[in-house]
Amino acid sequence: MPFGEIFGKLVDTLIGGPVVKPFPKEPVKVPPKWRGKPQYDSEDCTGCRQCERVCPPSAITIDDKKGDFFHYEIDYGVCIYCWYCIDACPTTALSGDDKSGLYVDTDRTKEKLNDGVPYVECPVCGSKILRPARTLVVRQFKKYTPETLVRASVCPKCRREKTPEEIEAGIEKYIEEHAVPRD
Amino acid sequence: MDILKPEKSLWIYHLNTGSCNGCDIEILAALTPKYDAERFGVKLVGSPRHADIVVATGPVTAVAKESVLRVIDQVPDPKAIVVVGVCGITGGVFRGGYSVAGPLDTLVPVDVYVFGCPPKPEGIMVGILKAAEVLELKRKGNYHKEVVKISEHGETI
Repeated sequence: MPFGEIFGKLVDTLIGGPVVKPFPKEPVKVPPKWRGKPQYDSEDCTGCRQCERVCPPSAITIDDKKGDFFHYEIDYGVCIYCWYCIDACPTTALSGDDKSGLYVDTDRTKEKLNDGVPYVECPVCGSKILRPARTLVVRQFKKYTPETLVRASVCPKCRREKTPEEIEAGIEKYIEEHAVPRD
Repeated sequence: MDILKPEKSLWIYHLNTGSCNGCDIEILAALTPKYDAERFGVKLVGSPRHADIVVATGPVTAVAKESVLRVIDQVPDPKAIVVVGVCGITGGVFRGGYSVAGPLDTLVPVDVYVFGCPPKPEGIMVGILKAAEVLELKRKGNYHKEVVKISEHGETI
């Protein structure tokens, strides 16, 4: 190494300080496009199960048979943080944590996400369907309120077999019976 | 904000139980000058008989199981075991494979789990610091999982 280069390095070190990252005095900085924990928002979930299908280590488990609830669970002890589920999600129910990068714990069982989507009644025939996702309600009615949620939760069978007048009458009756706040 | 200063230097033994080498590279990165775990007195040792903390990676393959148990038996008590990466925690992508003899915490008691595939070097440093606190509590004889006070970001609360 020539003398000029050594001198340059010396000046760099004197001005720039040490190269050691000042962790844990300063919080950790993650690089751009960092892939952290996947986060789940149950209001936007349509229950299409694409995330469960694409997950390489099967970290996502879905149980829709257990009672009146669509159980959704991500085990962060299995997740490899590849974000395939976020790419596969047709709505925005899954989003990624791109700010923090340290997940350390003395108890493994805490690092789990337990959530789910409730089943709602069809206002026309009363059968149980999965609660409609917020994105789809907004796409149809331009806003997400209790009334539009009731209007969106008409089951596919009623939509196919009943006339628009029957459906409208059923919705009006349901809103009056259950005292749903109107827009 | 206080940073834990262990009473004694932490001698760690790096144990690969059949890992893909991703986590092993991150453990070595944590010891390089950029992250510099040696600031806390951490030293990598070559023999399990000298170690205080075992840093284990990998899902424990069927071939490695006997050796892993023998190595962990050789570490003098009190010891702390840190598992790095999701393979060591549950098996990760290798979970349920024919050659996997179960995650490490079904074979020996594990004290600290570092999540990630692979985790960041800072995460491994925090894991080692947590293990240091576990070790001090074990030396005093009053260790429970709830007593550990180091936060997720390496500060004492």
